[in-house]
Amino acid sequence: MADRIASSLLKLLTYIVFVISTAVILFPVFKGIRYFNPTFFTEFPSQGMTQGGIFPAIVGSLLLMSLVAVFSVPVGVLIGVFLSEYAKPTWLSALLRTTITTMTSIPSIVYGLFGLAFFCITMGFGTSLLSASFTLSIMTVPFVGGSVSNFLMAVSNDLREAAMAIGADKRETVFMVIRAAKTGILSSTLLGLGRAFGETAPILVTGAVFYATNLPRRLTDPIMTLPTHIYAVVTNFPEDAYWMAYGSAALMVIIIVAIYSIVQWIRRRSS
Amino acid sequence: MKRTILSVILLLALGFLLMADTLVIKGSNTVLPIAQRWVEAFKKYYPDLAVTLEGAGSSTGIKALFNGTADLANSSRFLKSSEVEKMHAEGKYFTPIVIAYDGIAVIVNKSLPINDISRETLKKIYTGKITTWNQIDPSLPKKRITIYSRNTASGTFETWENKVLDKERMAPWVQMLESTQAEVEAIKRNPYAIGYVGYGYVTEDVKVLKVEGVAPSMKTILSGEYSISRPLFVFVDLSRFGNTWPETNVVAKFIKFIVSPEGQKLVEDAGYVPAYPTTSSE
Amino acid sequence: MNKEIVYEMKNLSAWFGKNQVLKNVSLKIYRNKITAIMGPSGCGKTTLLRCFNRLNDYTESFRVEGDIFFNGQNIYQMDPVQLRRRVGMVFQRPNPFPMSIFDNVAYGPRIHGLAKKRGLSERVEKALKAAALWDEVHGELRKSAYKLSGGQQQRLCIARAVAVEPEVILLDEPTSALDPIATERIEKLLEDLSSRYTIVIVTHSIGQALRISDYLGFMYKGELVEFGETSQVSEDPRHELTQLFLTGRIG
Repeated sequence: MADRIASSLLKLLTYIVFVISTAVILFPVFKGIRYFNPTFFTEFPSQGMTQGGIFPAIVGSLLLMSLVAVFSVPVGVLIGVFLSEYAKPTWLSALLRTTITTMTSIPSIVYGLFGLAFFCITMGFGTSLLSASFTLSIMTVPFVGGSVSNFLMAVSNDLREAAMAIGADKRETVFMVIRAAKTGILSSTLLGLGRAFGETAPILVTGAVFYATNLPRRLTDPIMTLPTHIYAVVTNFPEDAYWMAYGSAALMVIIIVAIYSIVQWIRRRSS
Repeated sequence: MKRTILSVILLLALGFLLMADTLVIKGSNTVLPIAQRWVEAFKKYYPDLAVTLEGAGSSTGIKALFNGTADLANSSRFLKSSEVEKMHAEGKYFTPIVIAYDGIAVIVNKSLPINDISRETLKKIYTGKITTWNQIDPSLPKKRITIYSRNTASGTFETWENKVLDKERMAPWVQMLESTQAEVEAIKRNPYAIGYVGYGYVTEDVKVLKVEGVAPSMKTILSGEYSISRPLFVFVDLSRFGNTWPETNVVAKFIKFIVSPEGQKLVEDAGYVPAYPTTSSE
Repeated sequence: MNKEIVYEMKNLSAWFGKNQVLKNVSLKIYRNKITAIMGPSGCGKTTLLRCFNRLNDYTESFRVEGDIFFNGQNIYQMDPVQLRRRVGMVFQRPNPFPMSIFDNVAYGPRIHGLAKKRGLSERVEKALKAAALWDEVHGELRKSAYKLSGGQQQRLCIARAVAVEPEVILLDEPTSALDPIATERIEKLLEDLSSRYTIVIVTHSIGQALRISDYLGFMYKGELVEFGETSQVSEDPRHELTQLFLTGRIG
């Protein structure tokens, strides 16, 4: 009897959580999707953000994500491979692993401050696409690295031994393990980029402007991005500009949901 | 990996070749809605120009002017004495241009039967000497006043501090809000709340009080009759141009544009009070 | 009778950390014969087998004393990659690579540069035929190896080992995860393969050891208690423990 009550309570709780999370996902979409039209996607914002669209923010986010992918995916995967396949179980590798786990839970604004001090000022990149993409990459690398190493370590030792037993050297064996974990690696990188895509604070201090008349032409130009655009509109403009924030939020939610769906699809297809 | 690094270097190199005229504007969030309109309109006259506009506050804008990362700094306050000293020490020459006035409107819930308030009373409310509405007027409800303020980083707060608090400390129970919008929303929902917002942000949802018998309006703010108002500035560093007015430079052209009737009309569109005529007098 | 020695193990002892798993083992493996090592689980027979291709070496805590000669050459003075190219291995659980059937078999020849494109498909076909898998898969060589049944996967692993044309094939309880029909097929296959390869098989199945082997060893608690020709060991074991194991009283 007590079991029955407990299980129906848990069931109820699960349903409630499900409904709430669905609502959180759907609310901005419903609220913002009505503003979707060709102008919204192809024009610059105009008249105090009351007219026009979010084209430069979309382009900015895309550029930023491409650079983050170029910088962080190779490095993240290499770190993951090193941790899983090469690092001997010493205190140093344990420290490295702990550091990486810790880095994934550091608040993103801390990365922003680092990026501001190091990339914008010390390296002299200024408020720019380059500074922002380096900053986000530094944030993404530990996530991708940690996650990739977990996927590689989950590969059965049987496979490593199979490769070794046929005379594969270390490098060939590692490639075999990577091959076995490739869907895991792919989803790690997608999730890492998805996380970076939604970040606001680090970009706000390292690369974003609230309004630019032109798309960035150089890596040292600043950019508009979707999350910082929402922030700019909500905190600085009167209510007649709010629609633009809702529209941008809807687009972001749709993109994030799409990324996660792709990851799920990849995982399901491979199992 | 090698190829990645190489292409990044190439991109950078390519970038420098394509360098065009740029104008970087930083500073006050209050000025942002005006500045966005200026930049958009100005761009039509100079299509080759690339302008970026960044918020983050008056102090940040002035700091950017000091380290040369901005061409123009928007500010909702004049230079602090520390900034003036630093300016002299570094041989800079920041020139202020008043571009608009921002009246700060005192707002309450529409249901509250009050229409007029004195600066003295406002000061007592914000410093905590008055805590319930009926202390102001016995006919008002005997309810605790919920007090809202903008956070201390905002230019609006600084003006409030100067014009209302006379530098006295705010009561600890004053609630600090991140944005003007949040304040309007909160007061709309709370019948016993009071707050202050830029005149341009007032909506139909709340009631604006007269201060010392004067309602904020374009006319009263510009004439100075309405007491809680402040000028908004654009600062430009003339030491970059050999301490003269850079007639042919894009900075000068931009300033000429923003004080022109067309530029000042945009100030009005953004909900602020223009500092100069919005129609050309022939 | 040709009794050419392929492997000679002399006084081999081995440890994982402080735990001694092999105690002073000496034995000889003869060319083109099937040698079976049997014994209860945990007796060290798998560790012994993995000494032949130095597959224990990558385990940090593993330590070994004594000598193993492969065709007269000390294997601890050989490059393990070269050694393993000449000594194939099949594991307890089928462990095909995450690739197509064809690529699984072609993997060894490819990494060792043994055949170019045309020769490669011939080699793969030959190996699959040798592993008695060709008839079942020849139409679908591009299919993922994971789509095969357990028994087919194990024969694929045999084909993979055979494809590099090794001298020796080591098998670690290759049928323990398979059903009786698949087991029978593999046993039959091993007998066919023994005409061309030297085979060392570890098994805990007495029946299997007796059915297929020419030489038979019995291990108990890290020691090679008994070793000799299968007929001799089964009919007249020298050691009492062997007798007890063969009659099912230990194991």
